[in-house]
Amino acid sequence: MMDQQAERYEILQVIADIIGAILNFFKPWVTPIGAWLVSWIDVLLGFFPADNLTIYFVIFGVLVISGIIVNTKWPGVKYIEVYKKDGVEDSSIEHLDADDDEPITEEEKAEKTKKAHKLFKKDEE
Amino acid sequence: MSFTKDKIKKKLERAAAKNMVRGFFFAAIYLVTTLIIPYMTFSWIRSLEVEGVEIDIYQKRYKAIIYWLVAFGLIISGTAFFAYSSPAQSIRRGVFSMIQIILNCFYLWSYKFSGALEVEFELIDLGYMTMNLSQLILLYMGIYFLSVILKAYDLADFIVNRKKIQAARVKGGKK
Repeated sequence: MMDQQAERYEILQVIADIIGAILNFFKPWVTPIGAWLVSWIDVLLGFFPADNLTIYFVIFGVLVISGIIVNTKWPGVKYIEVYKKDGVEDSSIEHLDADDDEPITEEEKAEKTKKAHKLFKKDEE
Repeated sequence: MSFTKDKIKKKLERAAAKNMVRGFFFAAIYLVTTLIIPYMTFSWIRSLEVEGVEIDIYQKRYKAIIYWLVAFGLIISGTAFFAYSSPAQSIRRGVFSMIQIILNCFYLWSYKFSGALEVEFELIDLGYMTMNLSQLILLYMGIYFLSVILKAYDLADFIVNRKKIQAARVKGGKK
């Protein structure tokens, strides 16, 4: 039991030594960068209110609410917009017609990709 | 509304819901790791006893530490929500991820700013004990700076290759 514990401590010591060696190796380069970073962070921190937490709660609320609004309006399915931009809404509907959950054949997939690439090329021009 | 249009609407709603669930999940993780755990740790240290002797952290310093923990913990969690609820490889995710890393630097430095890294403990009837972790934080700050550069590179990549990323999304049939 004691041997096992001693062995475990030995392993932990080896891991700690390795991490220490890596950190020491990078220290000459990384620490000055950190020191430079804190020189302007010190200045900027002066602008943060130091006696009123309300503003931080407000910022948190604003970020969450704006995140919800932005994601409701632009959830990231951009290809629908691109299709609409070209005035060929029907194509987008056609492309979206197959549900993600439904399995589609490789040929169908290739055809859809080809169509999409063609459209993006057109869009770029 | 036609069947296909209804399908598109549902698809968009599903994508938005997925994004938001991911956002809430990561915001919760950041709330726990940047706010709740450090708060509990400092509260625990405050009332720590060593060999029956009480360690009493200065009340004023403890308040300052908790203040900056809560302040930056909240902003980081809010930014994490915005970043992680954005679609993968989108410009807005790139921007907010970068802001989040910068805020992490502030958060880390706020430990120093609030005095959490040079904590002086009072061992009643024995004297004082000082814990100084400033050098370690400088090292971390350097690592964070390198992360900022990586995030900036990601952002530039998302902007330059926007069309390709969008095309890849179409190819995958996902957002």
